Amino acid sequence: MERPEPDGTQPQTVAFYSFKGGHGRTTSLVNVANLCARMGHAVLCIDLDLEAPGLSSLYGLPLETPGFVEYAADVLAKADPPFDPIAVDVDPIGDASGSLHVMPAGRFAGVPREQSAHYWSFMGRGAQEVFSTTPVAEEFWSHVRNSVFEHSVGFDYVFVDLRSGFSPLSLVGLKQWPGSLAIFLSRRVEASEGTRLLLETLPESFFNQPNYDRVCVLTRRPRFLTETEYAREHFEVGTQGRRGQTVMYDDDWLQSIVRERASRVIMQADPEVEAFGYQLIRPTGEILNRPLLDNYLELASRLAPRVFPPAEGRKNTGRDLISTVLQQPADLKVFRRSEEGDFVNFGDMEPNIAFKVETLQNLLDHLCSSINGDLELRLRFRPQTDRGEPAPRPSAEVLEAAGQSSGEAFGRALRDDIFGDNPHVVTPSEEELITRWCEFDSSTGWARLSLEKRRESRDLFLNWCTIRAEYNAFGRRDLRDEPIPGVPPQDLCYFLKGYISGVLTGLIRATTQVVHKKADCMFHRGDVNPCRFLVVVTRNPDARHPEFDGPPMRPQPVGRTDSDPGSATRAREVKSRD
Amino acid sequence: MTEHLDHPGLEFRVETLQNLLDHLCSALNGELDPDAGQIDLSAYPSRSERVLYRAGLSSGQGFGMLLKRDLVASGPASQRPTDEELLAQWCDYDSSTGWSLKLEEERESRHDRVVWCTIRAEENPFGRRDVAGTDAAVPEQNLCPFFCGYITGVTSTLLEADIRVEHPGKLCMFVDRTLAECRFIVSGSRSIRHPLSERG
Repeated sequence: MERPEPDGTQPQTVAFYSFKGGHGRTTSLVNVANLCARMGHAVLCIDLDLEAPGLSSLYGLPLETPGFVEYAADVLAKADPPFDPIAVDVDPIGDASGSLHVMPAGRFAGVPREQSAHYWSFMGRGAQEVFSTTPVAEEFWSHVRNSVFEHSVGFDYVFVDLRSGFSPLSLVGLKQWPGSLAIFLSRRVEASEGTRLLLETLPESFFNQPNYDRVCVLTRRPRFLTETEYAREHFEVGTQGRRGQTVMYDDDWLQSIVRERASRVIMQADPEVEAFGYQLIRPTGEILNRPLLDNYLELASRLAPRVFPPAEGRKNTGRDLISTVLQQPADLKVFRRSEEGDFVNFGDMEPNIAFKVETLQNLLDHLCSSINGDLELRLRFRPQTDRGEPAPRPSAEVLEAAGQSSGEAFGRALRDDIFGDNPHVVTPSEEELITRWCEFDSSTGWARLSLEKRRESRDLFLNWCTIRAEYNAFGRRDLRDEPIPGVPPQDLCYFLKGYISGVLTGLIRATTQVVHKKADCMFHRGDVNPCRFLVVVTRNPDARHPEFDGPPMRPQPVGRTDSDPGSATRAREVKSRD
Repeated sequence: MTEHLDHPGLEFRVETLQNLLDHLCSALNGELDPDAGQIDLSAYPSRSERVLYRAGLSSGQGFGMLLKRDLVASGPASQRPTDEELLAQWCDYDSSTGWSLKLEEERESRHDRVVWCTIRAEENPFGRRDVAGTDAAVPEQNLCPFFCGYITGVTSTLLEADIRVEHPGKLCMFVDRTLAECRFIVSGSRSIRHPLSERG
């Protein structure tokens, strides 16, 4: 029997595969399936990871629920069983009325024991029959597919969870369920290399549909499976979704690796910590820097294009899906970078900004201490600067000092995070480090940061670059129609200025000076974009950029002298006792 | 609570952050008198606390108006959420941003006021001091007045009532470092509207 070809009326099948287990494959399947069902489509999930079933657990189905193994055994016994998946409730988004059905692996555990014994007995004999390339197996899978495709529910999507690794279960799954293939891997070398080898080894003729769509999904784990993930990277919809973290490569990424064997892919980040992007070095020496896309919405959009067809002439990147979701009264609480670089809360579409608690506390402590007179402002109170401009006001000094100390702490943490103790890390250049920091902080809503240009001056042993900050949350003033009565808007860019200086000091371990002229400031210009910060990096303490006013001096607690470093601790102890 | 390179984090609306910093900077620059106007600030002894409360109040009022527009004004009158539902929805909303708010019913009459509920802020980012400080040279400050003002602003705008928020030292993580949460007692000059009586 021939496998029906997709003709627009057949359900679209997507196989979820990973060479190594534990890469978020099943979690992603559940999230994508739930989302499609909630958006009004009929979805079927099949668990073919028969050696390590997971779908029934994720959907809370009882262990004694029959599934694929029982069905397959009956098919092999010519009993002509009905294909009978389990219906699972999913709350719709808005008025959508989709459905979700699950075909679990089967009764692989639990009581009565003979039922699970039957399961494992099938795995010993029946599985060998169906997970092969014999005519019997081909007939079997054709029967299964027809049962699925002709099911009375009329499924729109069939998501198949495949066994990981290089085994008959996984290979036959790859062969029999193409349509789209979502390949999950991490930056662990065993995962990416294994995936590459598998796809290089298999001839195209192995697949029933050779040129099927492949989507590579990079998974960050396991740190992001905790309660303290970034909210912006959550896919948190209560019982309707599960936590996890995926990053989707550009869809031709893996094919590039496979087809360009001389290419090298450089993964520079700690595999368990952060993925900033990747570099593809072509045989010609050309270096391609690729950003990573993220979140389940994009993955769902990529895998389920029928639900959210892309606009004519462009690839579906997920924005169509996101737009569609936003039009619904959804309970999705998703933070995501907008196209403009904002950190948007999809709950209300308001630009947001994320802080480390310690950064926020440091900023507010600086300001409050200064207001209360606990912190001595002995910074740069001069009637005017060397260039004749009015001197910054007290708030400017305090903001800059707060930014400097917050930035230094973060820069050091980021450097430790990038280098860590991972022997596989390729030492990045300073430019790469700065670029990575820009990419990292661009996802927090502070600003859309980028390294605009870079120059070197050997005479001064001094480098300089410009950091471009679009949609700078500290400088933009386009969010409020009217100012708050009695509270004049303040130039908060000084905080970002100090922060940039601090980050770069901590990150590249060099002295930095930052210049932010009014002409380069959104706040002072009164328009939207961008702010520019001139950064001077020097290893020569005598080198000084002509436009630089001097570094911010650290504020000191009142009554403290530099020779009395313990006074702050004592002040804190007194405060604590209060 | 969210995570930022393994550190706890929280999210603000940019507008809220700007409002907070504008208040503080204006006070520092001598452009804002925290004691001006009719607001009762007797519970806040230091100047910074009074500025923080004002900033929180203003931010909360702004956000409360947005929420009210979304939760109340958009639906038909018969579907109007009750006071309790509005409070719960606001807590849900802000909890997703790292503010971690939980609502606890607590009905009690005190003189001319009625205690509506207690807002529990677990690991309150404005009160907790268990995260590593960035700059040991800067004295720690009690930032909870911002939260008090924020809760007052949101609830009074959302519920159209005269709201008072109390946050004594024994319920404050900043003051009592053994606490795992801050608790804010919310009381109103009228009774909370009950679902049944409200919807008839």
